[in-house]
Amino acid sequence: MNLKRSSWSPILAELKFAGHLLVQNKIVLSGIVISVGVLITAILSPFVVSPTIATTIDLPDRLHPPSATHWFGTDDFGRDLLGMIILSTRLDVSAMLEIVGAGLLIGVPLGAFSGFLGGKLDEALMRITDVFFSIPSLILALAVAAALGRGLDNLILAMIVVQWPGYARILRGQVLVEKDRLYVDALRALGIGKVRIIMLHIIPNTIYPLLVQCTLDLGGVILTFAGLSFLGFGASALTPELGRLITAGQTYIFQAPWLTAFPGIAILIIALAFNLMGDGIRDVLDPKLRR
Amino acid sequence: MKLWEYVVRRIFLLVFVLIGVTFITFFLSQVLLDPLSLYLTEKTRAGAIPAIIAHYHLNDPWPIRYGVYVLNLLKGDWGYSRSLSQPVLQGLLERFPATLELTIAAMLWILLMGIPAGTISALKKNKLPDHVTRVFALAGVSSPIFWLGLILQLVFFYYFQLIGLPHLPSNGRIDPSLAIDYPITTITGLMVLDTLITGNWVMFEDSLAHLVLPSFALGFVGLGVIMRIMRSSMLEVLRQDYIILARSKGLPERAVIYRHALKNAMIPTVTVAGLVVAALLGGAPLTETVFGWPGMGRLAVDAIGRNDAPLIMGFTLIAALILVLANLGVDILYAYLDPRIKY
Repeated sequence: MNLKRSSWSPILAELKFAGHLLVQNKIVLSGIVISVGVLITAILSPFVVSPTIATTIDLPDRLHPPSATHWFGTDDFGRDLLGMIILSTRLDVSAMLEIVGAGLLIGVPLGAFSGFLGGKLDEALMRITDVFFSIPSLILALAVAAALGRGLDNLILAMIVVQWPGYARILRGQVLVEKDRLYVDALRALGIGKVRIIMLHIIPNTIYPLLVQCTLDLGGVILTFAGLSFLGFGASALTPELGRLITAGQTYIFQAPWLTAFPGIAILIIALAFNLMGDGIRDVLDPKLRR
Repeated sequence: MKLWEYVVRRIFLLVFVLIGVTFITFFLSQVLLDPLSLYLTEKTRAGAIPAIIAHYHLNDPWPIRYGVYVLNLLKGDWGYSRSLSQPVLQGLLERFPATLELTIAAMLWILLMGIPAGTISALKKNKLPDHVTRVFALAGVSSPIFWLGLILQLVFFYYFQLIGLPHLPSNGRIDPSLAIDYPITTITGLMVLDTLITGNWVMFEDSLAHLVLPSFALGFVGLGVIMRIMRSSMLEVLRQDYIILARSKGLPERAVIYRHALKNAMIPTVTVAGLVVAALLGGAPLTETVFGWPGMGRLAVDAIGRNDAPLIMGFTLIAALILVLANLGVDILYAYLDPRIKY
């Protein structure tokens, strides 16, 4: 192996093999299929459903139960609920990906350098993550969002603030194990710089636990995001968003239960799909559990 | 290291964590928000403003203001809640028993359902019961708690009533009209316990019925965690030599499982108790809002609508304090339960 090249390519080959194993488990496979379906729905939603339905108010048509024309019924503004759910998926899924993605971008380098360099910087960073872990994440996000003010961007920002420490901690632990390995000594002896060693060699070798964690987090993040939206943070009232749809449906819970039931089932399915996938990835990537 | 040395070390670390937490709440309320606005109401006279600035050191540099903030916290002055018209700490403590009662009940659901389900899952590994509990556990972790609460209300309150079945209440801790005839004497603040102690059977039944749905909704989220850890630790224990010995002695399977395996398998569940407490605390604002439960979480949610920052920060602090103490308790308990633990 040419050590001057990065360690990413063998890792990618390994991941390909893991992917092959993943697909063989039917439960995990269904999780993957649904997750991919959710992503496609989110991407294509503005083309499938006209976004204008969100702002079109049709009062004579309000609170219709599910029927052939409106499969999931209509809401209190007379908007087609199925269309609203499909449109909402885009906002919820993109928020979910943004939050986990930004959390990774902040947490991974911080954790990696902290573990690699050690010393006081490392100690300080770990004490900071201790502090973040000592506040339940939904409550911390709630406090940050309350201080930032309402609005979608502020809610996403608040949730990123909560998200990064977990990744920093995982990466740091992994780096502590990796940095004493022989290949790191060899790279150092070759005169390769710290940043290059961390980015191209250590991080790829620590990728598995991180991959499992962030897949499992996707499900949790969408639940927290929808929960905080339900409480009134984030998107404004007319914006198609799943938590918001439930807030609106709550008023009519006995009169028009479909308004609450369907958006909740949508959230449940999305979160379940990512959790199934994360569970499966964990089993496959752990060589002890692999058969 | 001895156990007490470990405890002292942990308490020392705990102080560090709490300094960090107060720094976060300080930063959020005093740096991000205009600190003066926290202490003003529409009724504040213009002449009183300089005195307020002086009292809270608002014109001083932030390290001094942080010092003042922490000193005030330690003195029990957590600020004044405009939406409640009472001091923050007092307002939170008044609603603490309601949240505690809900959390304890949710914990009971988790233990009563999670430990047997996890055990069955392990004993029938890769058979139907295992698959069913796995799906159940994942559904728990994946359910939006606020939605689950609403659906439970729809089914067990509305539909049960509709078809003439005995139904469960969906809102609040008690039926206020019933409480007029059977007044509750507050002793602990936990209504189920208070009514039990005083023999107030009507209200005991009523408060217990009110507790069922919200605590189930809240507990369902943490259920999966306990189920899965119970399953894997039971599988681990069943491989041990002493289980093989117990079986080869000819002990019946029941005795092997319940006398020998179960106790040891339950030890690792203690380690995730901290996670469960965090999940329950985090679920409190949502559950309490959906069920009109007069606890701290709902108070914090109401405070958001009224821009009552001191109350939100107060709730954040209390939640952190509870979680930190719970984790400390878990670690000490674990060290006590498993003498092999070295620090």
